[in-house]
Amino acid sequence: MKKIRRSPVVTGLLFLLAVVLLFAGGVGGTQAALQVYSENYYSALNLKHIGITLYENGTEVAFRNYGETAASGFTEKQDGDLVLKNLEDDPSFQIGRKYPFVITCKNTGSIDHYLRVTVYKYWVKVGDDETFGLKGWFHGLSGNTKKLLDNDRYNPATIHLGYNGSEGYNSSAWVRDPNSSTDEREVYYYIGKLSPEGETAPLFDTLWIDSSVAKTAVKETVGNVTTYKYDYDGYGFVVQAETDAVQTHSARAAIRSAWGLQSDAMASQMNIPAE
Amino acid sequence: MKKRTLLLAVLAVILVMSSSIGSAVAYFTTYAKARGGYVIHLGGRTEITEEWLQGEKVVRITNVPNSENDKGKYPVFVRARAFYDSTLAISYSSVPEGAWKADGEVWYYQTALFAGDTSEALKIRVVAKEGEKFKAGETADVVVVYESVPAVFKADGSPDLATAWETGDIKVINP
Repeated sequence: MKKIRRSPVVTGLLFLLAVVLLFAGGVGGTQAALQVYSENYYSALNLKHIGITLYENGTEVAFRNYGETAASGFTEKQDGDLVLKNLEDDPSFQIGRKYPFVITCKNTGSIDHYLRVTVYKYWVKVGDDETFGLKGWFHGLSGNTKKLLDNDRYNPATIHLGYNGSEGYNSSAWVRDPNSSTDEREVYYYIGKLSPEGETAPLFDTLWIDSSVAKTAVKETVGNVTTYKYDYDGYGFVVQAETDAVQTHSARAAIRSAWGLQSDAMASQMNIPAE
Repeated sequence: MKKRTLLLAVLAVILVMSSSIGSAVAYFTTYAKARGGYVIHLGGRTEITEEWLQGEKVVRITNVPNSENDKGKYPVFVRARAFYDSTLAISYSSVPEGAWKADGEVWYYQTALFAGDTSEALKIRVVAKEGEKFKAGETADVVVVYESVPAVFKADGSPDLATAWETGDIKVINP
């Protein structure tokens, strides 16, 4: 067998090739390491929340907004001063005078909603021992108040709410529910849905007290002296407004559940699509 | 084996019953409420002040507050009329002019008096009737009668004297 002679040159070349291959392998490995990376993938979950704010004369008086940073899951201001805040500088309410009373609502959530406003009107006696949760908010009074239940004598109808110069409401934007209304309570539904940041047209714009309250008296006769005590003297009128909002998805079912509104006719007047 | 059969039977019953449970549905809802009111004050206490100056009776009416807290409340309208002997003649004047206005023999103060307010002057001049003369030492009786009613106002806040003074429409109720 013939023995292959090894040339030193060949051996050197082979050695050099081995070195080059060795380095090339190392460089390649390094490049591969640099090229391998994972892309960042971001996932966003957009949480929807509902919110409503009630305004009187452009001033925020109450709200409840969900989905904010509060521990309870919502932020709110309830039982705010509603009526005639601007009268605090005027010691005497003027019977018959029409005062500005512009009631509007704003969608302060992130989803569309339907809404309604329920208005209560009644008279209260001031300073009675009994309380009806009214203490503390009645303008200029620190005493307790008692709701007067005799609506024939202290008539809620003497508390007038009006729009555009006459008694009533803004019927171009709201619809009144006669089936839910009583002497003390009126329910109004807003026509159409309200988008986030959207504000309703005013429900009312004026409030006044009927002059008949200055002409109702109790006659008292002691001996030859007859005096008339005005029956509403020292009594207070109260106006309360509540606004409720509900989602637009499955709206008819939602308002049946949340508001108890069974009337499809009323839902149709609110422009809620049929299910 | 028997135990297993029993467990399967219980599971079957639970599954059948669970099918009749309605689905619970929750909706997004929210609400906000506010309230407020105001106390009505009616029937202020008024007092008349009369001065006799150079043949004239000067009448002013004050709505007297019962306390410091009552000031600015209990607005009233007032009116006055003088009754006098038939031998006398009377002339009225309002100072300033227009503060009081006449409707027949009755003079009406044109603005509401709130507790603590005093009206402008109504001057009543007493003269002898034509052809009559006062005799030395003779006195003349002039009695001024005044009334007040709770003030009511028009929509713009101006005084509504006509409504306030409408007669015969006080509704008397039994307490």
